[in-house]
Amino acid sequence: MAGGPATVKRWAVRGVRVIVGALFIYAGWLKSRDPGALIRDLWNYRLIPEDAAYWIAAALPYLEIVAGIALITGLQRRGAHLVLGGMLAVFIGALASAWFRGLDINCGCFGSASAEHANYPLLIGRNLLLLAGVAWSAIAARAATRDSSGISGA
Amino acid sequence: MMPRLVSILFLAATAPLAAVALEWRQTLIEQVADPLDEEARVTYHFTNTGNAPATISDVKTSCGCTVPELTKRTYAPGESGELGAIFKFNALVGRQTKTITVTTDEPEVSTYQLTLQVDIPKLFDLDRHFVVWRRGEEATPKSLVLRVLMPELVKVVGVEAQDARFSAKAEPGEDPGVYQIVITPEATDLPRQASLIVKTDFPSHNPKVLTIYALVR
Amino acid sequence: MKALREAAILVLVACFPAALAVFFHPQLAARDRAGLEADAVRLEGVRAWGSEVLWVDARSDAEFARGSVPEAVHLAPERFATDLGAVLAAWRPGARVVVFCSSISCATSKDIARQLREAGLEDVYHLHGGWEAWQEALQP
Repeated sequence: MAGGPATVKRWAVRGVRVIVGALFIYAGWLKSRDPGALIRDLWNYRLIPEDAAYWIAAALPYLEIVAGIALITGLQRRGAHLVLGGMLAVFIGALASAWFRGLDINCGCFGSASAEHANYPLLIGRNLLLLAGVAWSAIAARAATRDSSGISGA
Repeated sequence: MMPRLVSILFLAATAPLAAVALEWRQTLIEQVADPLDEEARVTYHFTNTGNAPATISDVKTSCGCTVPELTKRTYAPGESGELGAIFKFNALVGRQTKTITVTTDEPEVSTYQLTLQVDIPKLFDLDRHFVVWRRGEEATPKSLVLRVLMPELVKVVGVEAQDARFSAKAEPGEDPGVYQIVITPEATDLPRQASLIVKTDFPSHNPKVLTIYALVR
Repeated sequence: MKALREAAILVLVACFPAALAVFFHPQLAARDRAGLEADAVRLEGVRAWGSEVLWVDARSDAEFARGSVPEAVHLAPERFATDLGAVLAAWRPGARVVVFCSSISCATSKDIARQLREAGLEDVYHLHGGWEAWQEALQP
């Protein structure tokens, strides 16, 4: 098959999957090394009860890694779309909530006079970009299923 | 909720979105202090790489012991400047990390975080900072162990109780730099607290002292 | 829906390393289920003690001046050796010492608690939630 727009698109989707997947694997790995800091970060959002933070800090890093691998390899990729998309939606929601409440998540303090303020537009923007990547991968996966199911009939 | 390093990757991708007017030669300065030092003076160099004047509206430090110095607030495009910081050690030892947060007003509000890390050499090690007798307990001597970490430089020359009802002496131990500070109370009938000053000979113009305490409770 | 089932599989797979982490990762194993480290106490826990508690305020001079816990002793980190005298003056053998700073995220109270232990005090804890926990407790 000649390198047409369909091939470019396929490679572009693969590229996005690898980048997004690798970022989640890396992020999960970093978090797994310092769960104490993650618990504190979760507390800073003041959205969940404290015990919940412990269990989330235990599981979240590995879920990020597993889902990142799934996205890249294609094994349970649709599950990865759901898991990663869901995570990003929650992250964005949490950031927006903190921003709206005037909370500084770097220190978990309200209206802090001292510490550096979290750059909400940047943090939310980054996660939106990632979400777009996951969405694109999901759409491409659905299109591929449709195509292949159409062809298999022939 | 992404970790910092991932944010650097993304900062590269989304650079046009970020408003970075001041570029810093270094944002982290690391130093190892000399035993003689009482403060650290550092300078952070920066340049206004934007195409509009940048005004530094606020400089905050993480601790009252760090004082920033800035000669002027507004920098034209292309202009360079210096932010000085003086960190007084006081009684702090070990690795100290202080942050300085710089906020600019023009062309947009941006914050920059500068870090100063100083390893302040620890000169002494005490196994305890105080000794305590219970009321009515026998008034026998109690001691604590002081270890001087650089015995070639520093020697303990004496211990002085600030309260006449306690007596104290510093006895050199077997290893160089190890001293046993022996404290004896006159009586333990009433609750009491006394400070004891351990005197050294270093540095000669202003020798360091240590404060320990004797308590009757 | 297929995606849901696959997502469930991923979550299940992730549970294995997570379980290992809970038991073996030093930071997780050392905490109680609420993520509280050893030597950290909650305000309700301190109140439940009933016994004599010495409160040590490890915040800045300005913050201490604005208000603190009743009968708390101020200990400024950069004046540890000097302020230790004030802490000792308020201390009795057997008293539990609780150090606090501004909020959940501030690490100073942990550090000061460690230094107080190194100075020879026993039963030294740091308050989870810090001064903010006090403020919240005071709300009706």
